[in-house]
Amino acid sequence: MHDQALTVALPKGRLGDQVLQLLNAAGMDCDFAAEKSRKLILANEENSLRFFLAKPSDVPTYVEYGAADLGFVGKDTLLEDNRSLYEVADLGIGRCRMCVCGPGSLQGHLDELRNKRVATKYPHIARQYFETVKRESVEIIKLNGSVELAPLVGLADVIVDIVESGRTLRENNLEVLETVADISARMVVNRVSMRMKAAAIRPLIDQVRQVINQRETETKA
Amino acid sequence: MKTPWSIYTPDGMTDDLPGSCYAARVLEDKLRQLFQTHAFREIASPGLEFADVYSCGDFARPESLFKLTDAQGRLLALRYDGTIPAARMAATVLRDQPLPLRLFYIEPMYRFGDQGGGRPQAFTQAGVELLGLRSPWLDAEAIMLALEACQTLGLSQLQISIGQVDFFRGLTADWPLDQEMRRKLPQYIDQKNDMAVAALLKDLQLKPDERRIIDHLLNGSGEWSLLEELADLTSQPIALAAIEDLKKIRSCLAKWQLLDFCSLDLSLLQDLDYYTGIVYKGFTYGVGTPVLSGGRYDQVVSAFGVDRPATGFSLGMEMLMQALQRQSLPWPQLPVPAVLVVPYEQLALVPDFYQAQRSDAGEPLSFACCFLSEGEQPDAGRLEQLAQSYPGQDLYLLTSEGQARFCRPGQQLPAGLTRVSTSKEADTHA
Repeated sequence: MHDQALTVALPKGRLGDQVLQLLNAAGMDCDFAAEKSRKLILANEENSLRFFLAKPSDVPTYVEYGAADLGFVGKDTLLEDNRSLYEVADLGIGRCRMCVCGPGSLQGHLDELRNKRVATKYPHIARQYFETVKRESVEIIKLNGSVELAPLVGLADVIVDIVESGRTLRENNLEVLETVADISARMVVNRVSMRMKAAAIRPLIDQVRQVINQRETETKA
Repeated sequence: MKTPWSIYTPDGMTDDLPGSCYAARVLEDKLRQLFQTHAFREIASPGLEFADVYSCGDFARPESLFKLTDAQGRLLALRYDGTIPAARMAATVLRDQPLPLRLFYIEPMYRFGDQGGGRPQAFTQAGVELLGLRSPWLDAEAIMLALEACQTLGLSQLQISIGQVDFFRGLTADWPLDQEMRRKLPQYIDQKNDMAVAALLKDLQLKPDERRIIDHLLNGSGEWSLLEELADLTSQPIALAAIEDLKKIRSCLAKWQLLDFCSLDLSLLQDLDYYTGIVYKGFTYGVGTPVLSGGRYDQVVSAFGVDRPATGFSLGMEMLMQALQRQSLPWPQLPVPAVLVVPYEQLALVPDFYQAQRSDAGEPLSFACCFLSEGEQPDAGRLEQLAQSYPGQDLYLLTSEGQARFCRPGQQLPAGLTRVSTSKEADTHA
């Protein structure tokens, strides 16, 4: 416990795999974590590095409480949870936008609609956006999936949701009305670990940032 | 009638049971003694304050206060922190005392948690306040005492990150930032979020030196030599004064050989509305959040009508105790009393026995009585049972002569009192 062993919270699914690739590129030997097994925690032989897979929306919780020293998670989850963490790197993967979407008839007329009913998986982000940025009261309806359905069946006027390609929206005659925030995967670090395990964490942050910069230059070139 | 919540405690509140309660009191007493040795005097605030005490200076988010009303309908709040009531006292009942006031408190605080659960909404803080003087020497004294307090509790693996909010204030004073940016920039720096900082400052005409300073704030390694580097990069007077302030703190800590425990972190900007100078947070292994936090808060007492520059810190007792446990450090063990088994026939002898115990010279043994019911014999089987019910506790039997006789649990005892002796020692020697 007193050494510099690191525990990393990874989001389950595609993002987790991409993060492992990135960490490998950053010189971290994490092949052991890529094996498919039912183990919840995967550690390397020296036990200096441990990974666990968590539901993406739980990653900030694990990191804030110090159960993991660092983690990787989408900015959408960070915005929704608003936890006290260090956000040290934008991985540039999993890029998408958090948007207000609705029927085309509302395009350019969103502000005219009073007492909006907003369906979303992200009640905190939605409330924050309408109350703090747009300075209006809203009625938030929390849904757990297929949020696009809500305006179609009259449950809500608009939705606040992640937009990647926009295909689901188009196929359901919905449009992006406003952009709330740009989203991508982030590296987050626990505030205590950043101090107490600085010798292990700081070089890792530098390496990750280097890989990200390299990738960005490559994409531009 | 049974009400639905009658057997539960509210969210984030727990009972302190004998073991942990004992440990907490022992550790609190250690701190009490330490603070008193350093000439601090204890105060206790009433636990309930008018909510105005916290709202007059925006000291707590209204949502975080536990609120109720008094008989006149005035809004009251449960004690949210120790500093604000101390500031109120410094401005009122303690106004005419010689300065600086040296106060400390060890009290439970109540805060409505944000989210996520699992966080206590009632917790104990031990805090120290030095009110009435602006001096880096007092800031340094407070930091030293904070470190000593943690060491007194048994924690040696400690890191204190020290910053100075005026450095950031001075640096950015003339920057053309709108209100939103002024709110967000310190947040982003505090989160070490260099992408967001870069994006926010993208269109600003900053000098290269200023950009380098920002980079140092975000990525500083904690080395104190950064102070000299920063002094070369800025000529802003407020920022330079902040650096001078930190240098004085550094020289004190070096003299006291505490510099190994302290690092420089100018990105500590979390409570920019509250702190006005030195700020610090303490970290240790096994706890995910800072175990101590403190700093200079020169404007707080002014909210109560009297100016008293002030500095101080508070320790999170539960977090420190968690750290002790997670680091397998010594933990105050609840003393286990001996059990006095009282057969039904000897019940009337108990008051005499207590009286004899009390008048005995020397340290009287502390006994917890266990009364046998009528017809129940203190035979081997029963004593064995009792030994199991009171694990680790010595068993004594009250004899018909009114004497306590040590019974060795686990040994076959013939009926009656054959295998008992007059004292524990005699039995061991036998």
